[in-house]
Amino acid sequence: MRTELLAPAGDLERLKVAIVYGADAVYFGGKQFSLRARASNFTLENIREACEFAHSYGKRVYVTVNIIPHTGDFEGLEDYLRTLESYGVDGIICASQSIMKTGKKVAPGMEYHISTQQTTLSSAGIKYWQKLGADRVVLGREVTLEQLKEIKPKTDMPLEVFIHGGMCANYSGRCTISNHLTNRDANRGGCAQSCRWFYHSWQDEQLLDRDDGLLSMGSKDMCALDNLENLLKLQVSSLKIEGRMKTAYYIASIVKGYRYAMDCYYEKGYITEEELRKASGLLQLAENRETFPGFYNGQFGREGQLYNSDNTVTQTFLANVLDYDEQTGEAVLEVRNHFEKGDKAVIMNPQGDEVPFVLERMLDEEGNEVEIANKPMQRLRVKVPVKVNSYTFIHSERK
Amino acid sequence: MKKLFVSVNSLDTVKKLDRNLVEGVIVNSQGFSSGLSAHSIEKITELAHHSNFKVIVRLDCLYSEGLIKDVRVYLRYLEEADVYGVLCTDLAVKVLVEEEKLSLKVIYAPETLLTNCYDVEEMRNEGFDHCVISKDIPLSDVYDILNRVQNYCWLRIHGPILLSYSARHYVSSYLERNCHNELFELQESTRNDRLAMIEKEAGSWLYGACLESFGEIRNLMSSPVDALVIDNIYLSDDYTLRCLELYKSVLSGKLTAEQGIDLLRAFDLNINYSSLSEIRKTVLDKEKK
Repeated sequence: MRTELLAPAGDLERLKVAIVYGADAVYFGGKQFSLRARASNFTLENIREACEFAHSYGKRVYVTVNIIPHTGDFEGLEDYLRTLESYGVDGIICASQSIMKTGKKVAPGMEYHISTQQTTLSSAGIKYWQKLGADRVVLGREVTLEQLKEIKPKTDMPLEVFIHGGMCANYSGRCTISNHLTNRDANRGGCAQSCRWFYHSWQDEQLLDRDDGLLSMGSKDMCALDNLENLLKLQVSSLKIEGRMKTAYYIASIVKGYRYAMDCYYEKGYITEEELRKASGLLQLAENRETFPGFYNGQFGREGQLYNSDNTVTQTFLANVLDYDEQTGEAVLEVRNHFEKGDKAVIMNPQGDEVPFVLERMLDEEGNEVEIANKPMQRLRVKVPVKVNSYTFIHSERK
Repeated sequence: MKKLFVSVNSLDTVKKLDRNLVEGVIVNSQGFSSGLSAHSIEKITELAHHSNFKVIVRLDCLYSEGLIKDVRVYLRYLEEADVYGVLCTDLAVKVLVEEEKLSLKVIYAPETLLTNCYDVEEMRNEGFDHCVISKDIPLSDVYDILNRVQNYCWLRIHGPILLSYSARHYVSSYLERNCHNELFELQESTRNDRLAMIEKEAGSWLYGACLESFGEIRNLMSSPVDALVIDNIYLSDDYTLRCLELYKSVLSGKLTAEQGIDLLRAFDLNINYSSLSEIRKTVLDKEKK
């Protein structure tokens, strides 16, 4: 059995990027019943197109129906699930027992995956969902590698674990700080990320603040690349990347990094240090927060927390590719970040190695030569050394 | 009179409880509960055998694979101790109780997850003896659930509102010292009110204002709720006894609801309150309208 690489998609563009860069499956939310209310979620028409596109590549599509619903939220659920089934959606990620049972009844052609919002941490917890007919359980991010090794032989339930991306600081689904401090419902798509705010700490009327900053519950992002080989050996069913709010460039580089490492593993049964370094380089292109291995290596202290709001990571993304002329070897780039004539850049294509090149002659739409590209969305014609396409990203050399 | 369950820190407090008002007590275990007080199985056994109160043990942590074996053994002890039931957050507890064929009542209290009548009905169908409805939904939704799933639900009417539960040790990590089994307060940097945080080996619990239901207690007594819960977590037993006294006075008509909360405020000036009827509809509800 090969483990699935599961990528997030905030919209159709990102879904297509995830698939062409090597995801085995994608997940996203519709306009209804989904967390991440601010992600540009899919319309029903988008979902139909997403299924057609993914299935044409032999990939799977999961739709999140993962709100913790209030009684009034169920209106339209049955029709919605039937429609998703008719479009060929492969699975539903849900957190509510009654949503799962409703789905099993009215749209039994789809799988029902229990969301991490249910915080399943043990084989006994998995048994609960197995008895109810769940098709997969997404484990809590708090499960360590050692615990996973104990769990796996005790169950035949397909298991999904997170490997990359933002982490809820608290148990997912068990946090309502946002509800009570901002009136935005964390479990119905409105989380204000109040955990990432800064707090004075007190004990017995004594202020405990450190000189180097206030307490924050905010978590660093997870990066489980160093545990990837172990997770693949355990034959978990799916490795999930978090980030429905992330950019297409983020999705491309993260998916490509893990795809590369997974392919290396499946080629020979292990991943070399050199291969890990290469995969890590791809992941680092996309980082927008510091990362750590999450709970995979066990409990942690300061190294898992973000105490400074200014730990920004240098943006490497320079431009999209809009068009390519095979005869002239020129590409039309859409500027996303500052670069200059003479800068060294790198071409990231869905397949193959990255290709470094120097940004030489750059022409704007009127044919004028441009020295500095600093207008977002400006279109520039640039000579590139290899064939590129609309899924290609241009980034700067890694520092 | 509806059943009323109340949390106690000291087992000696049980002797001071009014049998006419209180049906049972909620106590913390050693190692498997969120609160700061903890009681050995011997003490819990003694309480269950001699107090004439139903004894409920709080098992409100989420249990990793490594702890499941210990929880299983502990549940057997609780059965032998004639404990009435367990208040649990982790569905795994239900599986263990079934596998061990125990007669312990399983009261599912996931804090955030039971926010609609359909999921509550599902829990009843799956054999949970009772469920504690989420404290994060407005009172109108609470009554809707109580009316649709009658004489089954438990409702928390008083006590600090749990805002979050994490496996992380927030204060220990921040201060770089072991802060387990200690009570702290966090104050968001732009606000005045403070939030209590308990840190234990099993993680960190963050609490907001203290929920109170003086204005609603009489309506709740005539509603189809199965039991009401006063769960004061880290607050003192003296405070809990004062709460009970004041709720009793409001129920008997000796005090108005306003007088009840005013007197409780006077008992401890540092506690901020949020009324059960003040739990607001969240933004998504408003957007729908």
